[in-house]
This record gives sequence, C-alpha cells and structure tokens, in this order.
Amino acid sequence: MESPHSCWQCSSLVVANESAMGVAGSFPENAPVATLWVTGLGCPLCAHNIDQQLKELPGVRAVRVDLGNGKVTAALADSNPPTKDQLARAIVASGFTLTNIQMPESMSTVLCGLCSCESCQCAKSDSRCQPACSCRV
Amino acid sequence: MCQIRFPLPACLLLSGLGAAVNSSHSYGQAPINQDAATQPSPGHATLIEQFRFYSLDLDAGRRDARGQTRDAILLSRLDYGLTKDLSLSLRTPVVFRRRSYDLGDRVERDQGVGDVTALVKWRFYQDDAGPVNTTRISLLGGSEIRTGDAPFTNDAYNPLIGLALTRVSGRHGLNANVQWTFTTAGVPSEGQISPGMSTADVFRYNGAYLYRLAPVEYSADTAGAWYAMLEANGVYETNGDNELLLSPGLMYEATRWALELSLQVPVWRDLDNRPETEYVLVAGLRFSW
Repeated sequence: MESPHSCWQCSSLVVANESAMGVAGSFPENAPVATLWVTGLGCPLCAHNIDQQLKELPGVRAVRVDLGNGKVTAALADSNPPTKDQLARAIVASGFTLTNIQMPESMSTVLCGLCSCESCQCAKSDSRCQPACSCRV
Repeated sequence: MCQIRFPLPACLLLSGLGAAVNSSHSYGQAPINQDAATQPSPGHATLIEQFRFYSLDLDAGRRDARGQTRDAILLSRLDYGLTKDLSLSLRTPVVFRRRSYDLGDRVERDQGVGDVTALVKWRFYQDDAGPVNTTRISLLGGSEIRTGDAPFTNDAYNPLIGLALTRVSGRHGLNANVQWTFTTAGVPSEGQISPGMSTADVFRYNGAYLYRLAPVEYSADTAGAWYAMLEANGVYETNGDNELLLSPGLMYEATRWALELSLQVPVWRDLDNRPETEYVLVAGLRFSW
C-alpha cells in the first residue's frame, strides 16, 4: 500500500498523533479498529499465535482477542495501516480460520480529514481517500 | 557420564534444547505427557521445561540387577514454527539417577544427557468449527540422536514416526497420540532402565481428556484458564514389555505461559525386562514468544 505521506501536512499530523497515543501495549481506544472473526482458537495460549502474527504487521498497534466469540480486534495506526489482505494472511499464518473481516470505515475519513483533501494531493497517494473525499484523481 | 563428558552447566544448557523422548508434551490445551496437534506460529517458539521424578522398581531378571531406581529428569523442549502447518521440535533430557540394589545394600549415583529427539510436525488436517472448537491432526517424523552418554543413551540414531490428534469442543478437549520408534542399535534388554534402551522397537500409545474448569465461558477479559485432565500413557516394546499409566493432571494456561502438574500411576503392566513404574511426578512450565 502506498503511504499517504506525500502531503507534508498529512505526514506531520499523523506522526504527532502516534507519539501522543504511544506504542502498542494497552489498547488505544481512539485508534481505527479492524475486526476479524476467527474460528478454532482453542485456548488462551493457542490464541497467542494470533497476537504474535498480527503485531508483526507494520501499522498494527495492539490486538485484543475475545475467545468467547472469536472476535479479534486490531487497533491500527493512522498512517500506513495494514491492508485487509495482510490481516487475513496473518490470521491464516497463525493457524486459524478467518470467517470475516471488517476494516475500519473511519480510516478513509480520518486520513482525508488529516490530509485536507481539497487539493486532492493526499487522495492521489492513498486510494482510500478517493471515495471519502470525492476527489477526482 | 554427563559429569565426565559434559560438565553440569553444559548439561543444563543442553537441556534447554528439548525434552525427553518418553515424555513428549506440548502446549496450548495440550496434555502433559504426550504430543498434541498444536504448534507455534511461523517465526515463533515455545519452550517447555519439565521436571519429572520417576520411581522405578526392578524385581525380575538377574538378582544382582534387582533394586530401585529414582530418576530426576530435567526435560526441555523447544518447538519452533516453520510454516503455519510445519514445526520443528528439539527435546533433551538431563538425567540424575540414584540406583539402589537389593543385594549388598549398594547404591549408585549417575547423571547424564539422554538422547536428543529432533522431530518435525506436519499438520495435514484442520477443521475449525467454532470460535474455540477445532479438530487437528498432525504427522510426526524425526529421529533420536545419540549423545553417547551411557547409560542414558542406546548409542544410535533411531528414526520415529507418529500421529497426533487434538480436538477442542467448548470446555472439552480430546487428544490421541501414537508413536513408533525404530531402534537401530542398543544394548541387550536385561538391565535396561528406560524404554528404548534395548534393541527393541518402542510403540507409545496415548490418549487424554481435558476439561476446562474455569472460566466456564471465555470472554474478552479472559487472561487464563484452568484445566483438569486425565491421560492414559502406554509404552509397548517389541521385546514384549508393556505398561499403561494413568495420569491425572492440572494445568493453568495464560496467554504466554502455562503451568502443569501431573501424577502418573501404573494401571496395567506386563514387564519382563525393564523396571516397573511405581509413580512419576511431573511439574512443568511452558513459555511462548
């Protein structure tokens, strides 16, 4: 995925945002969240495989696993978050079955809000901004 | 002998590589005394450190060989995920032995490193039927690698194959594991202490039932789980020796580590060569990173 940082304004805002929220560890409540539905989790130690694989992806800040319903929540970075495909591959690599994945709808809005898309410069560098900003690129 | 060929620190270091041949354990709602069809994810590892205390009694065979054996074994096992369905496992036992003989009140002490087992596990079947529910089957293949540290080695490279099945359904877990070791060398059966130390092939047959004691229902706040388990662990050798142990156990499993306790007691045996098991105490820790 291309970085949306070709716009200097966007870049500085995102960096500031990340340092304010800190690194992965506690679950950042305001971060964009991807929700993955997984089966075959088995047990707490088994489910740790998911945690390990997802956290290796650039742009994944924290992971929360609910063994009760198979819901895996990944807090994503505002800048350069992983793609749906990358998240899906990480689940498969961790040895479980992915049944559904829901990417954060707010992602494009957040990016475009940060990037001041009037100029369409950010939209050019990140296709997720295109529908949200109605930019013609 | 370990103290001659390997100094004690080297023994302990070696023990960090794997666990014992006759006590293959796993991780992640896996039984304590057998292999399961679970494995670490690619690029990650699980270390299992286990202390096993064996009380054995030999009252058959040559009179001057009869007596009691106490083995304290530090077993280490390192599993490493190669792909999502393939993992490598190294297992090493460090043995501290005390042997007392019926004749002459004689006592011998010894320590050493038993044969290392290198094992590849290939999971060829997986059916994930629900958030927790799963059925997995793995093929095991590998070899015992001689350390030459008598009497804890049979001084050979012995190939082995096996199969492991793991099924988790809600609070219940079922495991089955069989493993055949083709012994390519060895000493005569008389006087052997552990299975696999003679010229006979070894067939291990195991089953386990696990029950999650707590929590009753998993949730997003679940940080760990308690399990009670009952295992049946059998060892048959082609020299005719056969012994079945029943092994109740308790395990606490967190997200990155687990603590396990087990007691093995014999329920059935037909032994002419190796000593009878009186009991085995097992305590272990599993770490995942």
